[in-house]
Amino acid sequence: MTRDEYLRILQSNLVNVPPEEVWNIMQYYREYFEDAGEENAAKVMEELGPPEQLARKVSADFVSGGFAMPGNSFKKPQKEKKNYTWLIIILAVLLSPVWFGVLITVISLLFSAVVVIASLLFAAATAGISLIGAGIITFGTGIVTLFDSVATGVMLIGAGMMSVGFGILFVLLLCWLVSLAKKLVMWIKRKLAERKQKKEVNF
Amino acid sequence: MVFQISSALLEACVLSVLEKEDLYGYVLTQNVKEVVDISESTLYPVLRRLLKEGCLTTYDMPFGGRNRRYYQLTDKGKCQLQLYRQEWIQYKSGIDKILITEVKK
Repeated sequence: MTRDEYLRILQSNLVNVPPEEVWNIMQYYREYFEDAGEENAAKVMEELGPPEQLARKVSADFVSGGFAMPGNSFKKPQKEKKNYTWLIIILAVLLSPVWFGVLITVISLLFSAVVVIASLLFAAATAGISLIGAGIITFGTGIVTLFDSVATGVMLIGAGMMSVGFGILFVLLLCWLVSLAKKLVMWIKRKLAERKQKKEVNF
Repeated sequence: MVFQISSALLEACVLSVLEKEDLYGYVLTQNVKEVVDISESTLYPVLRRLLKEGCLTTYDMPFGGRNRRYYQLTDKGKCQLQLYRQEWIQYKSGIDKILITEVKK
């Protein structure tokens, strides 16, 4: 392809561009080729890419400008969106008994979940602490009893150790429940944040 | 180049190159090309946008029996360049904070 051919294809591909701007574009690239020199014409053509592609690039602003003519494609979606919003509001009012019920249910469920987890936490904490405490006391009693009656003492020491063991298990349960509760809180937070983001995007 | 140059950054580079001297299309492109890879784009849309915004102005100078169109920075262009420079420093230090200090650890 020669330089002139390249420029001709470029010009013929400049559609949707005002004539004055076509002249500017052609002037720019004609000058560009001139300044690059005859010997660099091939290199310049390679750098600029296919003329059809170059035409698309330099006329992109005008093509989008052409579609964005007043009252054409920019206002239409806005109008549709407005109608849509109204429809949602009407639907929301009409269906209020339904979604209000659902909303209340969801809130109650979340609330119950929180209460349940809190109770479990409390129970586990109480059980754990009591068992460990009782275990230690029993263990101590066992050691003292050892001097009176070896059998009773050993039994008490055993019972005390078992008690402490169960207590530790409850403490582990407590840790697990705490992490679960954390996860739940994080999940709710994330959901709320997502909703907020969606809202910001929509309006 | 892994990182693509944005049109605003390209505008800033063009303004900065033209701050030193008025240039015509070909040399301007070569100058910008020395520092950033713009093989995927041409400067014409950038120049047109800057002209439209009043950041640049042109004048023709005869050369070898034809005219060369020179691009010159306007006062508005100079302001815009300062703005771009501030923005760039901010942007750069922000990215550096993540990219560069992380390596030093």
